[in-house]
Amino acid sequence: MTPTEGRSAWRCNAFGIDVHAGFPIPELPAGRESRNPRSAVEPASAAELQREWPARGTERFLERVHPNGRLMMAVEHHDDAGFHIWAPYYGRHLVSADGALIRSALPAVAPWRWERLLFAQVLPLAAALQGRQLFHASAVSLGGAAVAFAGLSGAGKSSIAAHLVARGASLVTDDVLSLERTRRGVTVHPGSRLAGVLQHELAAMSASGRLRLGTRLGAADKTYFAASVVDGPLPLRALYYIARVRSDSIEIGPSGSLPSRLLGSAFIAYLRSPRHLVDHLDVCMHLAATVPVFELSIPATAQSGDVAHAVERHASTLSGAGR
Amino acid sequence: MARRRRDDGQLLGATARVPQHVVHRSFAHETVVLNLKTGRYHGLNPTAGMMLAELETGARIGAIAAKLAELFERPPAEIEQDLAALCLDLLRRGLIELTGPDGRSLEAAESDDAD
Repeated sequence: MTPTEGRSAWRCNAFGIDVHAGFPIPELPAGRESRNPRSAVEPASAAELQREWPARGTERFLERVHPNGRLMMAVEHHDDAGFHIWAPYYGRHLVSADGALIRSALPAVAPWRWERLLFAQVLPLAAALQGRQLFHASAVSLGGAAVAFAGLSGAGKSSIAAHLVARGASLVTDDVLSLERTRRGVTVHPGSRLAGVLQHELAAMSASGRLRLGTRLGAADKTYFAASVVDGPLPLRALYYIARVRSDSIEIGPSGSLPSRLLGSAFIAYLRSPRHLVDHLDVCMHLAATVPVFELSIPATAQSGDVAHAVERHASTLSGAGR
Repeated sequence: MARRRRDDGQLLGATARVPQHVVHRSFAHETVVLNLKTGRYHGLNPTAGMMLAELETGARIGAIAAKLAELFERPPAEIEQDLAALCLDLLRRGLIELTGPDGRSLEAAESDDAD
């Protein structure tokens, strides 16, 4: 089925919003009605979206290019029209300024390919516009609570999460973590089922571990799987901030530079309105006060599977969810 | 040097105010100050965070320095110098506004952060 053939509502929860789509989004877990903010996703043609996007008064918030200079992805903003996100071969989307409506033009390729843009940019943006706080982090469920991994791009967040899933944990999210403050701590919302794993990390897993990652969807820069994700929000038990170090052993200890690390982990850094900035500061303060944050020091020679094992042991010593 | 002494003298009689476009939050070992006009976060160590909290009371900077000198058991001149330096830095970054004893606002010598 191509994305635009199905017109019936496709209800899902992801990143802390209820998604009502006019076409199937296979790697979003089926969702129940909840008190989450709702975003509608409607199919459209690329020509329609290009026509509707204002020619003037727009600002390019984000642009990524390939090494050869070709456009990889762009995000534009207009005060009234909202956001225009597109990436050649991955689709084009208009997101309303309040995040409640997304209109999507999708290429006729396997869904997991266009889902990569949808899950990495479009739905997270809609969630952020609807008040969700998003961190650049991956997370898994261990013992009924979530543990999350933050760090710079390429630090190994997704790889550690994948190895933990291969060892029996459930995926909460890959790369985009939606947080919500609660009275006692922080709750995290599941993301999509799409998980990307580097080829050498896959090779390091046992056959049974690879099976636990879920159905293999295809390969590009990574191999993509439809993983099994948790079916609802979880309390955040711990956050591990990944630091690549020169030492000989994997070490887990208290995290230094906490405010700057947390503040620097915002997923959609181009949202700079006073409301977003203050909300992000508040959730960082609340997280720092209620959730243990550790520095996960990883030497260059360490295998992600060994890191996952160390995290598993460390997390098992933490009692309760939050503090 | 003479210029610095004159600034400090003006400062000690001044009062500070955190403008509406600035918010701050206290973490365990750091106070984070956010300038909403620029979108920049600024980190203050615990001592500077305590000084900012005192500045927010609206007391004269000289009186705050005297209070903190007693609290920290340090010579008043040392705390006056530290507090004056902090005030000038916060002012330069657009994070506080200062009003002199004559009711006039004190301007930053230069600003690298305010819009």
